[in-house]
Amino acid sequence: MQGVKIRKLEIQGFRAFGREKQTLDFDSSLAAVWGPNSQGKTSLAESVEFLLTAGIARRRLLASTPDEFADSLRNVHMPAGTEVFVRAVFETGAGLRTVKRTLLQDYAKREECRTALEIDGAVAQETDLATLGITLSQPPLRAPILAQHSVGYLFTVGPQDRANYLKALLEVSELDELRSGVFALDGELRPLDAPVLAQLQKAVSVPRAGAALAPLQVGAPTTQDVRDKLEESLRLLLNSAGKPASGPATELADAAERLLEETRARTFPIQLLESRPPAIWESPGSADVALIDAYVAERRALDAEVHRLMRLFAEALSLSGVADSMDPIECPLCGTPLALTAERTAFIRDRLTATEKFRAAEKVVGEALDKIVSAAEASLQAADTSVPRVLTIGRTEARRAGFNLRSLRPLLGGDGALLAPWLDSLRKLAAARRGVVRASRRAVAAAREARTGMAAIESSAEIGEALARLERTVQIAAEAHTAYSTVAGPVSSTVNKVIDDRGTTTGWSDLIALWRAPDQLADVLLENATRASLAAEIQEALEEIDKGNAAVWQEKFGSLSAGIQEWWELLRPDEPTYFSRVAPRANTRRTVDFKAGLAAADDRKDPKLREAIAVFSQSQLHCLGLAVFLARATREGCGFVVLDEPVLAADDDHRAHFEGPVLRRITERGMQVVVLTQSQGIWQNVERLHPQAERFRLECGDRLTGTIAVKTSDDLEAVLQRASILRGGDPEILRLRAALIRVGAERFCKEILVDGGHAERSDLEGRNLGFLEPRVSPLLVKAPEHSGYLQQIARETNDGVHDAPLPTHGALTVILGYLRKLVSEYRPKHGGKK
Amino acid sequence: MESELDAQKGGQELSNFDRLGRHLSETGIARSLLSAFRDAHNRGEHSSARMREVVAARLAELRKERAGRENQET
Repeated sequence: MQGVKIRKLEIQGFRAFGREKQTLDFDSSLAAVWGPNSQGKTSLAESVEFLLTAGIARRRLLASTPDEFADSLRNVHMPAGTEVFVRAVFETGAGLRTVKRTLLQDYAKREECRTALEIDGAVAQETDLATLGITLSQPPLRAPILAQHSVGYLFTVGPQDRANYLKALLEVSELDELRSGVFALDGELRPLDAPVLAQLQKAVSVPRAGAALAPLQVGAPTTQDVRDKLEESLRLLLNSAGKPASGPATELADAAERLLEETRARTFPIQLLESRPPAIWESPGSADVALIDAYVAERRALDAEVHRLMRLFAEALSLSGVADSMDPIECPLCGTPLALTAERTAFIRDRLTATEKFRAAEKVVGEALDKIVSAAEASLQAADTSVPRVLTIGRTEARRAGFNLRSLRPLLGGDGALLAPWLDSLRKLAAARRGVVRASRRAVAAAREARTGMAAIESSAEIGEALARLERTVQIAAEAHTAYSTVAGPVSSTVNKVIDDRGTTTGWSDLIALWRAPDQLADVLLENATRASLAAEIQEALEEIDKGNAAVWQEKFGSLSAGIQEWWELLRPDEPTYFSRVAPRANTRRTVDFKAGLAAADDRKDPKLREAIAVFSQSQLHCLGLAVFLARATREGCGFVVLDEPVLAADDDHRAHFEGPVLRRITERGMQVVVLTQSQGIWQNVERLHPQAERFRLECGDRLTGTIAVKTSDDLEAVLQRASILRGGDPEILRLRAALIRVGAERFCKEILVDGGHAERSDLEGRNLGFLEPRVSPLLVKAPEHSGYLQQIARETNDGVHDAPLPTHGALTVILGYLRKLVSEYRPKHGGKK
Repeated sequence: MESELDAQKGGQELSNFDRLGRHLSETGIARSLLSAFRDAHNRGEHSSARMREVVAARLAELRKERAGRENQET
């Protein structure tokens, strides 16, 4: 058995079906369901679709807006609170499985419906259906249900949707994803957009010098190439300006920089506006100032007279016998006997010690004062060197250099947006500089005065105050410098750019900057060359993949064409107008054509190929839709298909082909087929041609009951009657008769087991005579030969339903008699005796 | 219905990737990209990261080759 089969279908409250649950038991691989118009056939087909896909494709295919299908799934007459569900028992490789889908919320104006899925009574997810072996196809026709709105889908949908559907059907979408993924990789390989490339672009435009750089813009230059070309270009630049160009390479940048400044200065001396960062001012600090006070304290501690005689004392104490004498001795200075006692010697020693401390302090404070002088002088110097030269050179010299606001204003665009803040910051910087100059001079003067008159210093107050003021002014100047730099930078670059753009110096600064860091340019050029190389490889890969995909695409279309042709030839054999193939149009992947062959005669010689959609009749297109559907179902290994009006009512010619060869081929392929039709002719012919077929009739009850499904082929006597009227030894007749007898025997067995309480009907769904016979034979006890009758029926009809050997007409007549005997003995309601 | 291709690979139908692989050169980057894409696809992962890895590896290889050539020249 191939794929999953439906053995029972229960429907309640879904579309035409009402509050009474309707059950359809499918024991056979073929079922024909008849019903006039508006009796629920499409509802039955869509109930299976709803069960499998939680929706109906008709909404997507036919609705111009989704709200047209609002509240369309629930039977409009159903009492509130009544459950709407579809439940099916599927025969799977793992036995019988029950799948139920309950409608929780119908389609709304903008929202999808909500449903609950259960498998064997447990909550399940959509993906769990696949674990049962139920395979769904590509959207929008996911379920194996052919309906009026879907049979012509491929011929009414736009070319792009048709191509997409077929691509999905042929499962080549992952190849398209691969292609898209490779295409997107090009974005990974975009060239670096580095500033050095913009600089190179500008440098190339430098007259006479830039041409040497042009080769760097193509190919993959090495680092040495880049250096060589930049050097050559710089030498050409200097040479063209009449400057020495033969100097060492290391001096080229500075020489070019000077040339640039000179040239720019002819238009405006922008260098006069440029400032340098002020040197970091190292304040002598409070510790140095504190030394002055320490010195003053030491000096005060020393007696002025002792200070005057300090050298004499030192000489006296250095004499032998004086410093260590314990007894009074003669004074070595005045000769007074016994005048120099031990106490006096100790006193002199103390004074000398104090004097040494004072001298040390004096030395230290002298150094501190020198330091203060140096720091203040450094500030004074920095006040001039860190500010723009325009503040220090004086107006006359500035004018002589070409600096004036009248010529600056047009270089800045004339709107004052840059000029005003720059002037303001320049004035503040000038004021700050003056403050530093004054404070520095005062600090220098104070420190120098103290240094030369240290004996007169009374405190550190004056120097401390001068230093504090200097520190404040330096701080103010630093802030003013920062503010100036912020606005002066744009002024300088704007002026330089305007000057450069006037032509003379365009690209010079870029050339100099590149020369100062050639490796950076070389790295970027190398990286971009590498990326370009790989981008070319990716492009080649893309072309290779395109060709490969096209080949795969053709292979798979060839396979699909063959499948469609098979079903087409069963439906409309030997017609001069026929389905030829389905294939993508040459040189495009967006259009897929169904080609029709048009021949003059039935032999189909020398056909002309045309678009099927254009030349096929409605009937032919319908057949093509059915053939595509069956090819798809076969390709995807569907276990069952539901065909809602598969044949147009007025199409008698291919109806016969459908009823016979097509249905036979479907079942031979192992697929179960449920045919829904309003044609009684088809309904009856299916039974006639396929005795194993089950027949149902759909009737419309009252508005609450809705559609009622009646299984008409359940009539055992009818089966036996049909088996009786078949005569002759034609193999087809013998096969049909055997199948009917077997179907009758299976129904007889099931009734015996169910009515006798030996089994539930649900236990016997999908069971065949091979399963039923051993269980029923022991129950046939009214005569010893009865169990043998059933065994013989099973044996003969088993042969009959398979290819060979077929039972003879006589053998079938005998076992039909056996079956009638058993029915009359054990099933009196079917005409048997009590 | 199935073509002879379907009968290959020990009776199993060839996957689309196998089919495409038959049309790609042995040495080009297309094959490496297909391989990376297939691995990601079979694992249910996003393929773009894997394919970017292939590109990054190839880029590194090309850089190395160029650097080697430059060293030789200098």
